[in-house]
Amino acid sequence: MGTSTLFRIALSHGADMETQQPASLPPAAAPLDERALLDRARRGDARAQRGLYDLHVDRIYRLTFRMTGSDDLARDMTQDTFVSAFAGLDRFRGDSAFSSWLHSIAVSVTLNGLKRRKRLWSREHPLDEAQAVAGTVVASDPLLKARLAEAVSLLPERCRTVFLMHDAEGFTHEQIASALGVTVGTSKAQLSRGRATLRVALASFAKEWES
Amino acid sequence: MSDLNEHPDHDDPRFDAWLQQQAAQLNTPPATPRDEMWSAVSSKLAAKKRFTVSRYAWPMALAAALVLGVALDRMMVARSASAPVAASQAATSPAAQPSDPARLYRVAASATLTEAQALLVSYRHDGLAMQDPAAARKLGAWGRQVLASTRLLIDSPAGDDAELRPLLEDLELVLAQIVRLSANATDSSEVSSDRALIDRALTDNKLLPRLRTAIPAAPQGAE
Repeated sequence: MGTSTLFRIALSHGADMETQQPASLPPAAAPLDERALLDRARRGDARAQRGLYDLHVDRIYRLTFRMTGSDDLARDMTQDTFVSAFAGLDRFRGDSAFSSWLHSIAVSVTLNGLKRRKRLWSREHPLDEAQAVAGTVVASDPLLKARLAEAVSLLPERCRTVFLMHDAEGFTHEQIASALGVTVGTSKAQLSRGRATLRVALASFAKEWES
Repeated sequence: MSDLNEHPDHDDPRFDAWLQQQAAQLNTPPATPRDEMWSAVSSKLAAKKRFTVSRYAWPMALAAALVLGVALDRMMVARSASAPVAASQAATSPAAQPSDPARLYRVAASATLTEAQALLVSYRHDGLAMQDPAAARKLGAWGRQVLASTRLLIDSPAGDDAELRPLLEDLELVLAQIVRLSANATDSSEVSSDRALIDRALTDNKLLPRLRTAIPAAPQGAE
């Protein structure tokens, strides 16, 4: 079973979840006192750390949830992101926005976490069994959602990340580029390729967007 | 990757708009469990901090014990140099090399046991003075110092010695009781019950005779 199958299971699982928040958020505005919070947090001030956490946790949790499709995994990834960030705050030199630095940690933690879990999953479950489970979950969803989830899961990792950040979470290309450490042009190209692939994969639903 | 090669860039605003709508419904996140996640984050950070502290604390304690051992060793070697008999014994014994780590630990153990013996004798002798807060504080401070050395010894290779370890453990218990007694010296009811406990531990465990036996004769003789 590849990462894509695991991701498909995650997407299918998450597709059933009730909507409790708007689908996408505007980019988080950098607060004026963030720099002061960062200075205090660097010195181990727990209240400042909590302040930074409160400013950014929503976007991090939403992003990790989009990427994993599971509340448990998203919680783990979000926690690991903040623990890594606060433990390594001295490494943040302020060249980019703190949110970009945090997002880059979140993406890295999540992708590595998914890979690690995929390895564990493939050790614990024989391939056929995993595929059977995946098939069952997908088949129980509405066809369009299932097809889209499957197609997204089959996108290359970087393409999929850009697509979810941009189209699902409303990040700008500048924010994505900064978080992933690529140029804006690369981010745009990845999104364009991802969309092209998805368009072909969803061709049988063309009437949905052509009407 | 073959899909990407077969279907490179595209430009269809209607599809893009539709796809964005659909994508927003993929894995829609629930409300953020802020407080639950924060408790986990803060405990993980605290654990990380504790780990960082303890990671350095043990090597520092061991290094301090080693430095103490080396210092005591140097001091005793210097003293024994003035005693020809002791010096000749040290020169002929293969175990008497100053750089031998086992010997350093034995020397450190010997110094701690000697100190503990002096403390216990003083405690027995000046027992009544424990009701004097100043004397109690003095004994308490001395006791804490010897207790710390005893605990370091227990955790050092010297603590692996099957004969020495039980003695060190019994000593640790009594020293802890003496430190506690000195802290409660103003409370006469606690003092008498604590004293009874210490006296019984000293008698039952034959602590002073065992200390005398365990302390090597040479260093004492050298003095």
